[in-house]
Amino acid sequence: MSLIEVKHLRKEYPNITPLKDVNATVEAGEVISIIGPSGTGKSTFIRCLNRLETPTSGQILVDGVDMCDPATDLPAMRRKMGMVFQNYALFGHKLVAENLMMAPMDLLGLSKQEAYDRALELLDMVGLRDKALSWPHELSGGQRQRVAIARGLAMNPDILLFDEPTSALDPQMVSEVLTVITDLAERGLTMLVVTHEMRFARDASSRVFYMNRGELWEAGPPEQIFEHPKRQETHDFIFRVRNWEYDIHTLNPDLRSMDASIVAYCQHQFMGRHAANACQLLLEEVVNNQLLTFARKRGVTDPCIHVTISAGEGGVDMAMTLDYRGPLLEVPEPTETEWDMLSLSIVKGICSRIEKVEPGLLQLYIRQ
Amino acid sequence: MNDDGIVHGALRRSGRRSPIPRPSLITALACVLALLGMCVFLPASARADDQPGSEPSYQTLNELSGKRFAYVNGSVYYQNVEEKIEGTERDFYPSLAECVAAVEAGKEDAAVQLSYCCQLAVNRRPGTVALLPEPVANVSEGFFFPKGSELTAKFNDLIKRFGNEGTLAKLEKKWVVADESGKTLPNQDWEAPNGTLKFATSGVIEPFSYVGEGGVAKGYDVELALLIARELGYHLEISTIPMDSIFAAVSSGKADFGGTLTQTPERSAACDFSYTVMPTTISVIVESKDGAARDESLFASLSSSFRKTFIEESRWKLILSGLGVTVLISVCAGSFGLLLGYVTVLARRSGIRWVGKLVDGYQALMGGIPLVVVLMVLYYVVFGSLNVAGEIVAIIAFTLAFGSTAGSTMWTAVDGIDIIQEETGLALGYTRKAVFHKIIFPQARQQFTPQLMGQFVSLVKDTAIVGYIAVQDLTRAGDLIRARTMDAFFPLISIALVYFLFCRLLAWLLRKVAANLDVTNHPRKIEGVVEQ
Repeated sequence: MSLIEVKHLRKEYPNITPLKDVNATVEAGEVISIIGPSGTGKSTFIRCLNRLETPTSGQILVDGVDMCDPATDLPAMRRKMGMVFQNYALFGHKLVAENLMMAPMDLLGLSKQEAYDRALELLDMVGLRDKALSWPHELSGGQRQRVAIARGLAMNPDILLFDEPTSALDPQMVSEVLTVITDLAERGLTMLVVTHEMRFARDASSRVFYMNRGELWEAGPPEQIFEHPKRQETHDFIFRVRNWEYDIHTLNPDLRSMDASIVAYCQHQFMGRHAANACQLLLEEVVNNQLLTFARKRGVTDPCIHVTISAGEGGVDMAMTLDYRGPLLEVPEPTETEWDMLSLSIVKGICSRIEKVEPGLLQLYIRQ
Repeated sequence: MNDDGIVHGALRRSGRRSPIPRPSLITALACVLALLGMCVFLPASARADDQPGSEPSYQTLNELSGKRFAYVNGSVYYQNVEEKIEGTERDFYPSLAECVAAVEAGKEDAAVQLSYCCQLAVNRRPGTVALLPEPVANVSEGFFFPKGSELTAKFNDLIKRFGNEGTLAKLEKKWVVADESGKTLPNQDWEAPNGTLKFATSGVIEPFSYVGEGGVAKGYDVELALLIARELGYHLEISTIPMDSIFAAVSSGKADFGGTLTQTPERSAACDFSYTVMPTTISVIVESKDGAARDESLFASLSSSFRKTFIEESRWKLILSGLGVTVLISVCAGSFGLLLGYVTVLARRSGIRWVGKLVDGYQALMGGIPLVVVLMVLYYVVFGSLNVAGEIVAIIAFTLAFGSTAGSTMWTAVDGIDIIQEETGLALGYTRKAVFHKIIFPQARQQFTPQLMGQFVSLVKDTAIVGYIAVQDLTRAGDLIRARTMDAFFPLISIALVYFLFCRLLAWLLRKVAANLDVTNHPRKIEGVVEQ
């Protein structure tokens, strides 16, 4: 018998149906990463497992117990299934160690001393033993999330559910949390992790669920999902998350939000700060100082520039593609004197190669 | 270390202090003392060069046409005045003391009251005000009873008999003299086979009804009521009720009879009146011709005001017992209100729709009706026919009021706790109820405690209105003293000072408690464990 069995799970809200028909099984000791586009029911799915959401129909068996049966002792079942949320939710009125001690004392009947010893042990494991007597608000986001994981572990659960555990964190704190989760994976704990961290999904999980439009689209070992996806949608998703795209339809684009989104993209792809800086500079010099300046001079109101940043695994062969085969093509090419020489030299410094594929399609290969 | 966390924490902590501000106590005290000095000094200095004399600045009633007249709340003498004098304007004050103060300050041109009362007032404020020689009208004052009361006829018989026997004349002679020493009441040591009657009187119309030593009501009306009760075989329970609600007290049955008031057709429609107990007149007080002559030094006038307000007839006891009542009502209403507020939070959290609506309705009701109206409705309407002490009704009213504000303050904090906190608790295996008590409420409490403390201090000040339902709190004690001393300012400022000091003390205490309740102030220590 599988540890978790989900059959024809469906969840409807008045306006939206996040889960249409999900069937899945999870064996003891498996580490499942759940990936997929936003708003496709990943979080709803994981929240149904411990019944924070009540399914509209379908069946969920955990350890053979029907979670949807009104007679099921939900609190007792939930004690076997820890959950870590995106926003850590530490209890602000308790010291860090007390956060870990509270539930075991109240619900498992541990003595204060036992709970305390266990709390210190777990804090040690997540590298925060020094913070045992801190207040939660004194910790950084990454530290709080590690405490939240330790708090989940303090109940000694069979299953640990993670609902986007790193999405609320600053990029530099993501890895400290992922390291802790990866450690846990090696200890044989059954885990289900909703994540956008592709590298984590590929390297740390035993199986990957790809969810799309309320269904479990494809499930399989990471090699299958990432190297040889069986379905087109999976392939598209895996491929698309490696590109960053942006459409510019105004002469004054919001460069700040573009910058921030590039930083996030580079972080996702495990590319360094350097790569993000290079992309930001290119945007500023080529798009803003060259293309948009021409557009202004020529009186074009909607420049229709499509920017794509793509990269191979780990940031190799990173390139920015500028597609302006729109209104800008119809205006006269800039003369030599109209080029900003300083911008040009900066661009040449950043790029290893600049290729004009055809008029209005520029490929800039960024130096490593 | 995340800077965010620290900044956030600091903000939270400084924000927590704000609801109870901490201005320098010394500065505030200095302000109050300055005010106190001014109220004595200003009238004195403004008139320092005036000549002594108490000639009224008007001689005949006709000269007063078109002038502003001050009346006591609930008084109907304006009808008599307006019949005689043309084009006068009317303003109402809580007692004759305020009327006289208004005349002294030049805000009013004349004050109207029973002639005996006016005479006393003029004697107490020598030189500043004087009596117009010509009385305005004859009036007849009588006891009054709820419609259809059997007492009316019995009282009438006795009033007639006392009139014939000369008892009324003796009483009049006894109470209208200036010397206070002979004005004592008989002890209620007679047999009372018929039980106890509740007598409502204003307590602010010396010499008919006023508050003497130890806060006991006395005066012509009171003694006459006692004499009649003795003849009828009753004991009397006497309560002093502000002029403007004394009529409501009797017509609603809160008191068995009240008195005495002037009979008018409207009043006769609502209550039965007894025969006239003393045919008398009403007079007009005006500013004295040469203004006030205050040859006393500042210190002397201060010390005389102090003596009259606190020492004479042990009036400090009145203030002390008033403060006691204020504290009693505040503390009881504060604790019960806290409990009630907590219940409304639980009710809202129950998620049952109609229960939530009920709480909404209650809070909207309390938020939309002035507290003084709530208080009077409770006393005269809801508990109108029940024998419930004013203090109890006051506690109920303020419990309802504080329960409403405390409840919404608590709910705002509880509602503001991130839903993830609740889900985390559920996911750990707590029941919904345990989540509330272990996780949600303690965190909400961190936030609402300081705010609640501030609201409680406000509650203490709000209790100043309980005088409307015959409860003798601190404010009412001040009213009664002012009615006796005819000094409107000193008792007022003294009461203000007592309130101020008490509220400061309370705020200080509550701040200590709040700091103690704030877990982030606790030492970073987990009790009862050893590190191994």
